[in-house]
Amino acid sequence: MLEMIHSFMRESSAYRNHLRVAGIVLAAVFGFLIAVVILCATHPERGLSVVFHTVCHQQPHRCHMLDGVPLGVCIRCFWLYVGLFIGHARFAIFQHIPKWSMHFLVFTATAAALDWISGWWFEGGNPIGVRIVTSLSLGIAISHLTTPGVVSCFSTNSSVKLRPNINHEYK
Amino acid sequence: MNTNEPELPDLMGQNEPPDNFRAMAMGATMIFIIAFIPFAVFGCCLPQILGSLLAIHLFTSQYSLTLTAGQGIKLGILTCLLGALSSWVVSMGLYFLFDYQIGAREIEWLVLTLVEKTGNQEALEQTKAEFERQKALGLSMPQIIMGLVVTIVFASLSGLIGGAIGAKLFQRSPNNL
Repeated sequence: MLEMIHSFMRESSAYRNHLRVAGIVLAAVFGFLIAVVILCATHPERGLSVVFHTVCHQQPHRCHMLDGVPLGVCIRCFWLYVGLFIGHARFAIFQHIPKWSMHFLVFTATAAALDWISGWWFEGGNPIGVRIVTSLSLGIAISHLTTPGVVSCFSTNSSVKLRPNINHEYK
Repeated sequence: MNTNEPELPDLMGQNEPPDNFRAMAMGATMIFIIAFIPFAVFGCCLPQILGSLLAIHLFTSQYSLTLTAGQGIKLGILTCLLGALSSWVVSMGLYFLFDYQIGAREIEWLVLTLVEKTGNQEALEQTKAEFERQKALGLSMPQIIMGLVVTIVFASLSGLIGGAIGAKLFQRSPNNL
């Protein structure tokens, strides 16, 4: 019965609307972050790069440059934000969540981890294209989980609740 | 009444919801400890995501529960906020009392060594100039306030990501969203 309700919720237009709103809100958040990251390079006198000091190493040789000034975060972080922005923004048009979202996340996270490790292993880091592709795809993969998660956070009529595992012996 | 649905037993023999503070504290402790490892900044928001994953894993395994993505996100955000804010308070205390920034020297040494190995003199000069600029800036009150706001915002975003992944990853029963 519970599965039927969930299935109905997934397909209902109300649920799709909630996904659309959550996607737009999260895309706006990450779009704002991207704007601030770019402002760090276009208006360096404002000292906005301090904003990202605690969340990124900001080393210039690992950042995109605008007129010789590095962006607020490294290439990997920047394209992760772009991936999160695109991944959430697409819910404004297309609300389907693929069944292979978890597999896609595992695959992209593994690729990003390998890229991250090998980037520090070799002198000069990996090619920029590899960093862009792994980070962008990881951001998109994460958005498949965060958008329905935010909907379930604010959903008042959801029948989902804390439920013990009835298939296993109770601890 | 639907007789096909098995009646759910009380959790821990009570009607109260299970206590998630212990799991949250464990995850926050992990974030707190990693924050004081000198080279942890190279992991960006990864430690906070791992901390929230740990909290969800401990909570779901302790009570054999499956969390919805929303519940996972709430737990993840609270874990990250607890860990990140406590480490921020301690690091600010260290800075004002002893003028010590955690891992600053080690990171400078490592980065300059790595850049030097590439043989790119321009990049080396840029990196040195960036370190000098950051030292000269120091910490002003607006920067401290901005640091607090940024800590809260990024802890929330990391908790959102970690919570959503954790809820999907650590499912203990067929119930899902």
